[in-house]
Amino acid sequence: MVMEKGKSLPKDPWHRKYYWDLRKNAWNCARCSVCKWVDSWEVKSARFAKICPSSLFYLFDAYSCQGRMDVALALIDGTLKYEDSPALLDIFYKCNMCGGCDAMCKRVQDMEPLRVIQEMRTRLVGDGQLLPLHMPVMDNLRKEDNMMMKPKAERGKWAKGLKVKDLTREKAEVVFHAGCNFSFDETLGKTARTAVTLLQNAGVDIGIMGKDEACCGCRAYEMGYQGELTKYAENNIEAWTNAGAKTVVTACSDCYYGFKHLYPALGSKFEVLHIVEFIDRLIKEGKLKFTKTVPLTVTYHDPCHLGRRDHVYVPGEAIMGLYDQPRNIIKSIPGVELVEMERIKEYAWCCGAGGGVKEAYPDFNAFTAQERIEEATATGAAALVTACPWCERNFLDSLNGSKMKVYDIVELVQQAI
Amino acid sequence: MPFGDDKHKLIYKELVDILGPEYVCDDRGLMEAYSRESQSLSFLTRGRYEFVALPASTEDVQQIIRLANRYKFPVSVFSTGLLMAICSAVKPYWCLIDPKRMNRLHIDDENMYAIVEPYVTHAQVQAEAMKRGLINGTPEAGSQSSSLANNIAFGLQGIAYRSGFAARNVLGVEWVLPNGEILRTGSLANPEAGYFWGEGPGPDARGLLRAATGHLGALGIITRIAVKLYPWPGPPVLPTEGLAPVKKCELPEGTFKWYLFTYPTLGEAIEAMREIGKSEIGGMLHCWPPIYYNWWWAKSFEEYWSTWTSDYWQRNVNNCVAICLWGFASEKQVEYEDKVLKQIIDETGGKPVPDEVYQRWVPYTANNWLRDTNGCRMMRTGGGYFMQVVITDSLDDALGSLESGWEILDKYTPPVLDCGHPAWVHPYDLGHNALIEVDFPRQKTDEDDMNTVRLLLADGIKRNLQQRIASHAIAATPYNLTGRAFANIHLIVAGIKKALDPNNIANPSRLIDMDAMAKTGVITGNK
Repeated sequence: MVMEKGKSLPKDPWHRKYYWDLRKNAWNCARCSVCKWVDSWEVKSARFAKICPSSLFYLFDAYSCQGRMDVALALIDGTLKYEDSPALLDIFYKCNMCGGCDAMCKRVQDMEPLRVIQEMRTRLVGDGQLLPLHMPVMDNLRKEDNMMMKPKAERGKWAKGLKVKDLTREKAEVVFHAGCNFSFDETLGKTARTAVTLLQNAGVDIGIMGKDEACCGCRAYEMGYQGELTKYAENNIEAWTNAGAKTVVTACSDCYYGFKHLYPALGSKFEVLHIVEFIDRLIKEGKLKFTKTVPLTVTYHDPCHLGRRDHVYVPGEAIMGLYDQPRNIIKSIPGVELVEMERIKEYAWCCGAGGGVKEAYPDFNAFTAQERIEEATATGAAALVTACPWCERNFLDSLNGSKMKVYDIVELVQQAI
Repeated sequence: MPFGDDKHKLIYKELVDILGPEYVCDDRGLMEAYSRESQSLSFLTRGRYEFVALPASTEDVQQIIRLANRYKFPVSVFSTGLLMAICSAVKPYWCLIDPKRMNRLHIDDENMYAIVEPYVTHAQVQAEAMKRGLINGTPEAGSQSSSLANNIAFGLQGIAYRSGFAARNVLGVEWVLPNGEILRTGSLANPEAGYFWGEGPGPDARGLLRAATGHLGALGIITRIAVKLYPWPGPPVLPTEGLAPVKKCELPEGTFKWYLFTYPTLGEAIEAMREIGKSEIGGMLHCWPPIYYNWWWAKSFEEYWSTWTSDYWQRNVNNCVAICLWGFASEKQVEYEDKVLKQIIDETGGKPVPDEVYQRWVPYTANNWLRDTNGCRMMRTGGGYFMQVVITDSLDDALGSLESGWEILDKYTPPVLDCGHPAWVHPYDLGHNALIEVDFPRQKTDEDDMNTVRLLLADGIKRNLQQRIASHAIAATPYNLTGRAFANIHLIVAGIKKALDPNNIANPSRLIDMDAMAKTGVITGNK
C-alpha cells in the first residue's frame, strides 16, 4: 500500500492513472449494469431505455458487456476452456461492437470494455476458434478484396461515367474512398457519386481508385482478423501515397473509423475526413449553397463509428464524435425540420450491421434495425437520415412495411441543390 | 457440481418444457456471466449456477417453483445487478431466475402509483412518471437498478427524506411463495380492486419485505408490485447538457433550490438536520462526507485521487448539510421554505460553502440525485468499495453507529484506502429516522484483498453484534448466525421459513440457513 502525506492510496498504479490492460479491465467490471442501459440521466421513456442490442435480444447476461467481461476473465485466467462452452463464440460474436456499453461504462468507470471484446475476438481467431458463419465472407475478402461477396471486377462500376481523376494513373490532393458497400450496392452507389460531384463542384482536387480500390479491412478487424486489417491498411496507404494524396475522404463511417483510428498505428499519416465534415465546412465557407426547399421532417441516426466510436479515450473527458456536423447540415437545408430520437449521440442505438453481426446473425441484425426504425417512427419524422451505407442498407432491408423513408445525408443535400 | 448428471438433465428438460429452449441455459460460459459482482467477494460467489431461467410471467415463475419443490433444487432470483453474493450458488442444481422478460411497467397517474415487474429500472419508472408530473425515489446504487428490487430489499433512496423508506411506498404485491402458491396482498387480494392499497387482508404480509434487507428471495419471488408516486414539480424530461461523462443538469430555479452549509462538528450538522425535519421543508436532505463528494463528482481515477490528495472536498464540505427545496405546490413554497431555512441556518450557526464549491457540485452531481446519484462511480476509486455500516436508525443514534464503523476502518487502514472518517447521515421520513452509512474504498485486486475484506467483514459483524447495531451487514448475514443478539429473531424467521418453504428451495443459504439450524438441533422435524 502506498502511503503519501499520511494517506493510504492504491498500490496498483492502474487505480491512480488508467492505462490499457486487458485483464484489469475485465476484472474491474463491477456488475453495475450501467452498460445495458442508456445513461440514466438521458432515459426519456421506458420503451427506449436500453442501449445494448445484444442484451435486449439475447437476454442472458453473457450477451451483455458485463457478462462478456466475466467470460473474458474466466478465459484469461484459464478457469474456462474453449471446449467447456459450446456457446463461447456466440457470446463474443453476438455483439454489434456498437460501443454503447463502452460509452456508458466510461460514464462511471475508467474502462474500455469494447476493447476487451475486440481483443478477445482477435485472440479467438488467433487460437483458431473461428466462427463458421464468418468464413464465407472472409474467404471472399481474401479472394476479391471486398466484404460484399462480390467479384472484384465489379468494384469500379459505381463511378462509371463520372468525370473524376483515376488515381491509379493520376495524382490528386484528396482521395475519395467509396468503400465496399457504396461500390457494390447499386442502390446506394449514387450517394458516392453525389459526394464526389459535390467536392468537385467546390473546387476540391479529388480522385478515386476505381476498380483498384480495396476494402479498408476495418470490418474484418472487428471480426477478429487483425492480419486482414494490416494487409489492407498497407495496401491502401501505399496506393494513396503513390497518388500523392494528403487527405482521405469517405462517406462510409466504418471506413472512416478504420482510416482515422486504426491506420495510424500501421503507418498512416493522412488527414481523414468523413463527407459530413467536408460538407459542413463547405456550407460554412459559403461554397455550398442550397437552392431548393425540401419540405421534410427528418430524424438523424448517429452511426456508431461516426459518433461515440470516433473517440480517442481519455478518462474523464467527454465522449466526442461527429455529432454536430451532420445536424448542422440537416438544419441548414431549407424546409427540413430535424426532430431527435430519444437515443442520440454517445447513447445512440445501433443500426445492427456492425461487428460481423450482419454477416452471421440476420435475425439479430434485423431486430436491431427495426428497433431503431420504431424509435424513428415515434418522433413523427417522415425520413430517417444517416451517414453510413451499412446503416442505410440495414434500415432499408428492415422496414418491414414501415413507410419511413431512409436517406444518406448526401442524398438529402442533393435534393436541396 | 453435478453438471450433466441425470438429475441435471431432467431438470433442464423440465425447465425447457415450461419456458422453451431459448429461455433456459446451462452452458458453462453463460454461467460465468452470473458469477461475480461489485464487491467481488470471491468466497461468496465462487459457485456457479447450473441453470439460468428466463420466465415471462408470474405463472412461469410459479411453474419453476413447483418444479423446484418436486425435484428439490434451489432457486434464487436476481434482477439488474449489484449484489449477487446474496444469492450465491452454494448447493448443486441451483437455478437462477433472471427476470429480464418480466419488464412491464404501467403508470396510474390518476391514483399516483406505478405497477412494476422485476426487470423495470428506476430510470424507466422515473422517465414515465416525470412525463406525468410524478416522481419516485432514486436508488443510491444508481437508477439502472431494478425498481422492484430496490423497493422491497434495502429500500434506500436518495429522496427518502421526503418519500420515506422505500418499502413504505409498496402498495399491492404479487408474490410466488416458495411452496408454489401465489399470494396477492393489499387491495390486490380482491381481483377487482387493483393495486391502490397496501395493507392486509389480515396480517400485512408486506412486513416480511421490510426491515433492513427484505427477505432476499428466501421467502419467495415477488413478481409484481405497485409503488407510490409523489408530485414532481419539475420538467417532464430531465434537462441535461453535455456528453458523458461530463454531464450537467440544471433544474428550474423557481422550484428547486440547493443550499450547502457547513458546521464545525458533525453533531451540529445533525442537529441542524433535525430542525429542518421538524419544519418539514425541503425535498432532499443529506449530510454527505467529503469522500462521497469526491466519489460522485470525479470522472476518472486520476481526477479522483488528485482531488482527494489536494484535500479540496475535505476543506470545503466537512460536516456539510445539503438540502434541496422543492416547490411542490408552487414557487411561493420555495420562497417560504427559503426563509425558514435561512432562519435555521442562522440559529444553528451554519456557514454556506464558497460559490465555486457550490457550482462544482450542484449542476454536475447534486441535481442528479433526482435521477441517478452517480452511485456506480463509487466502484471507481480502487475498483471497489465496501459498506461497513449501513443502518436505518434514529438521528440520535447516528454518531454512535458511525464511531463503530470508524473503529473498524482505522484498524484496517491500510490496506483500506484513504477516506477520512466517512459519515453519511441521511434523514428519512422528515428526520423521524435516518440512514447512517460508512462506506470505504478498497483496492479490488486479488485474493489478498478479498481476504482482508473477509476479515474486516467478520470483525465488523462481530462488533455490530456486541453493540446490538442492526446494520445491513448483519441483516445480510443468515439469521441463524446473528439472531441470538437480536431477541432470538432467528427462531421466528425459521418458523416463517419452514411454513412457507417446507422443502427449503428458496435461496436456501440466505436469510436463514435451515440446514445449519437442523444440524445444530435448533430447528428439527416439524417443530
